[in-house]
Amino acid sequence: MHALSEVRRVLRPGGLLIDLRPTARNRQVELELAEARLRIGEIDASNSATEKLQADEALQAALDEGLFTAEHRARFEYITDLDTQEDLREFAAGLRRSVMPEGLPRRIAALTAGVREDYLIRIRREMIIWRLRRL
Amino acid sequence: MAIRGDSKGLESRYLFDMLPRDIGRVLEIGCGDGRLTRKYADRAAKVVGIDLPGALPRDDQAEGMMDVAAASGVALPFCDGSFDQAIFSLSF
Repeated sequence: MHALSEVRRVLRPGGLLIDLRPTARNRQVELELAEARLRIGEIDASNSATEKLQADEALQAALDEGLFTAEHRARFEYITDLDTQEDLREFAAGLRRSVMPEGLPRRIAALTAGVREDYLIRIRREMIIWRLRRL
Repeated sequence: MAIRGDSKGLESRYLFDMLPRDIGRVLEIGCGDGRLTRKYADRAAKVVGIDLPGALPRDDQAEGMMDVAAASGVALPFCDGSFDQAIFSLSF
């Protein structure tokens, strides 16, 4: 919660804090091929589950302490589209805490082997966004 | 070949729904390479982005868009009431 106290300090009274972060849900990986959407698997996000829980608890504590008031909250999907398996490798290389299962790229490679038409690899990540007002 | 983040524009839509029309002076905590900042910086009077050393944007990524500082969220090097809005952008 100390970070939230600091944010409150540097905000003018009545200023807004927009808190945007991923939820604890794993990223979902899909393959769009021809007219089909295939669910391929998930990218494990459990390595950061503790930090996410701590962030949730810190936010609730800040609300309970009256540092902020919650005006609005929403969940949405952050969608990343990849055109090729090379893009998927590049995406996987950029993951910091999450883990892409080894079998997932192999599964995509098998499904797209010999396919002439374009396909799309879609990664869905659930996000939560809060609008909080500094009291 | 392309990696298209926020391909449906939902992050942008929700962010702008949450922000006021006049954004003013913004502190973005966890700015990284400026990916989120690029979405709203032209509507802000001033943007300051902070992140841990090694995670900050390159000079060419930040130039003209925001001032950057290596800092932790638990010890912000700014005076009281310096900002109109703050954006806490965490990625795990």
